[in-house]
Amino acid sequence: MVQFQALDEFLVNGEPRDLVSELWRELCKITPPEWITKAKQRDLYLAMQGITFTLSGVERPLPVDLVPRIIDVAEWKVLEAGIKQRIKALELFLDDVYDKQQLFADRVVPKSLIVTSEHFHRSAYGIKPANGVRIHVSGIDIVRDQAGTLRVLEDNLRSPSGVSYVLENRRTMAHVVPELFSDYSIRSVDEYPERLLAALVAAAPDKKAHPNVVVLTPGVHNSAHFEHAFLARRMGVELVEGRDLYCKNNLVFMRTTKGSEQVDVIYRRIDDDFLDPIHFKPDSVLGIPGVINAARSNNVTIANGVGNGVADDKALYPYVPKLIEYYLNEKPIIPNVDTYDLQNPSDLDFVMSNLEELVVKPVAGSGGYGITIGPRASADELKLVAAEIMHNPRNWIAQPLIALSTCPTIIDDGTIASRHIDFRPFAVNDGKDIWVLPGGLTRVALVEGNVVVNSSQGGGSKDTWVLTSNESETQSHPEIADMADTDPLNNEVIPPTVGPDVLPITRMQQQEEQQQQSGVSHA
Amino acid sequence: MLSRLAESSFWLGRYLERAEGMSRLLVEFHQLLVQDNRTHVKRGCTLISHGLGLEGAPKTARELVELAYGEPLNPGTLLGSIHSARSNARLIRDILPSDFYQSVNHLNAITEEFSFGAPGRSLQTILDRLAVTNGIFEWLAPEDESARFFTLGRSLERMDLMSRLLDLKLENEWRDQGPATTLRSVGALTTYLRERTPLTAESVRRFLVQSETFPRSIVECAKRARIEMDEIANMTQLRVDDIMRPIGMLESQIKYLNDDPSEIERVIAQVTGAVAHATDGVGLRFFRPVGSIVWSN
Repeated sequence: MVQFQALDEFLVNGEPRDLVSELWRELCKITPPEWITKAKQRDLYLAMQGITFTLSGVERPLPVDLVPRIIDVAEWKVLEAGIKQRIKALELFLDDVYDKQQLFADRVVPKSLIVTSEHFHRSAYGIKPANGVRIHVSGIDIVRDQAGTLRVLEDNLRSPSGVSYVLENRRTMAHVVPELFSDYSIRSVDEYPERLLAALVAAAPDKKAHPNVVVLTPGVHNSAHFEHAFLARRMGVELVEGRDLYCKNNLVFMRTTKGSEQVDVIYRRIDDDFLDPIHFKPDSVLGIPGVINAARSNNVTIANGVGNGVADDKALYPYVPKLIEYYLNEKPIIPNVDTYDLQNPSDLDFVMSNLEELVVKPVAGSGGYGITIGPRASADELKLVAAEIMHNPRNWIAQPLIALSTCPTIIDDGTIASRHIDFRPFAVNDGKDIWVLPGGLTRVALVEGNVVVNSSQGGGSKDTWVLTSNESETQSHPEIADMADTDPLNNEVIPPTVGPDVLPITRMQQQEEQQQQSGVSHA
Repeated sequence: MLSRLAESSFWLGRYLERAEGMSRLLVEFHQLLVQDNRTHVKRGCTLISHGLGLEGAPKTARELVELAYGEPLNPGTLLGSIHSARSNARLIRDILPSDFYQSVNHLNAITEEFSFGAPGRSLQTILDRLAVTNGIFEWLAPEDESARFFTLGRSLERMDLMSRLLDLKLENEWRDQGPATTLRSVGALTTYLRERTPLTAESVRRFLVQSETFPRSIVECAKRARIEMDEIANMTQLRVDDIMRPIGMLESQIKYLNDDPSEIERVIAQVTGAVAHATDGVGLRFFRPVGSIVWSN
């Protein structure tokens, strides 16, 4: 079995990299008992703020590790450009698949691969989104391999979750460990809700000035309900469930105390299958009957688009670099992880004879479920997965085991240990520009040696710091230079008004004396 | 009621409100400054400490919190306002519900555990205790003159704090986060966003001055102060129109504001003066201050 040495984001041969040296110094000042105290403060803060996710029906805080991850300016530029490029290409791909289907004629991707995808929805064919955007929000999972190269692990173009934790992690960190921030200048993540709202407003049909935007949640029992409520609150829009909405004459309305109100944009956080019982699962109680027809009539925008899953299908993943070249005529900026296409007979042969060294993933899976890691699997497990692959190779992909990079992490006993991490940056497309949130969700596998970082598999998260460049500093504060003449700091300090001294010293002394004297006289 | 008790009720209301307002502001300013980049943090600290009326030159978020947390004998600081609130409550404990006095004592006691390392937690504990204290007052205090003076003091202090916050113009220093931080530091972010107005500096300022749905807006506080003052006038049969004139004029100006941004600024600039006028007027008319008596030979 091949063993790889994972790269550490912080340390080289036990010494901190330049980028993190100041942070490392601060981290080392804190003793294990202090870390345990800080972890308790963090848990209390998260519990009081209600920052939770639901795992197996139990609401719990998403564990945020107190050691942040840092991304420097140069690397961020590459990531940003790479993500924009990928989203652009995937937007064009979706537009093509649900419209002209030119890519099949040009034999870029086998048609069979697309039409057999369980996320390819014929009912979405011909729906033209108002501003052309289908991927309003995306979360591209990125890992760093043992050679230090950043690679895309998978695309999430349906309802990527986790962005609320990015914002809350930053506040939690500033609350619990403010001392760690002192030597770094970090880009803010706080404007995400505004950007998202602006993108949703821009996506409204008819270019309405004040479109009615709602967030559609499956309900409080959903694992990401905190996030749904967070986004609705921070955008100032209604958080609705399917039962709050209804369709009439291909228009969507919500039931309010003032009567019916038309809805223009639905930022849905429920899967396609549950969205509309007329077109999909007929027994869905979470959806809105008729909403697909309303979208087709361009009376409502559904974000993210229906049928986006065909573009983040793991079976399509190996073709994405090719799609980037086909649609944009550019080389991919961030490479993929090498992936074997099991519908290709030679790849299939290779995979079947090397299963014990590869990672096998179901194409329809998410949340880390159903993954078999060859080197860690028993012979019986490998046999089982081999049989399933042979039964239907379309349902599986195989990749070499990537030794995800590691990052120092505080573990239960208050010491610092290495744990594997990945990274999910979020991007918002408003039709004119793709904006990548400067930060993102670094997920960490809290169990030693574990490489599956999904929160549904017991993973935690880390605050991710994208450092400020001098350039962006001056861009975001152009007025600072202009303010020299009218400097507010030259203003006079006006102290707050105060009331009379209620117990001036002389009165206090005399009152005390009175008491003592009266005490004496009565004695 | 006794003038002395009325005066303590009034200042108790003001100091409790000041403690709450300062705590909220500090939670948010600390968040803002901790995450700020190093080049602006010193300037930001000085700007904020000036705006809060504090003498000093803090250079870091921690130093700003230390300065604003202050000392027991300076009622312009957080600790000082809590101590002053307690001193005033102590003077009128005979007319206060006993739970209320206990709660104020508890508030005073928890200041001893304040941690500057991670002040957010300590400030939140203070806010929680203040919420309990104010809740007990709302539910248990008799609706007598004392309660009227208490609420009057609270409303005037709210106006004053709001105008100080707006004077800071956070959006000039932190263009991206300024408007949201301004709203957060008075607990108004959610209410504001529900009105579906874009998060721009000017509309945030307009909201905090003019909103009829947000109970801490300047116009709502002015209205509350006027109502309380009218009640006091009824109870005492004394005239108050001269005391309340600037606040009443402010209220009607806000009600009939036009879209010109300079109008809003003009109104904000008048708040401190109107509050000071009312404070002085109430003092002279109701608290009947006596000059110190000096015996001469």
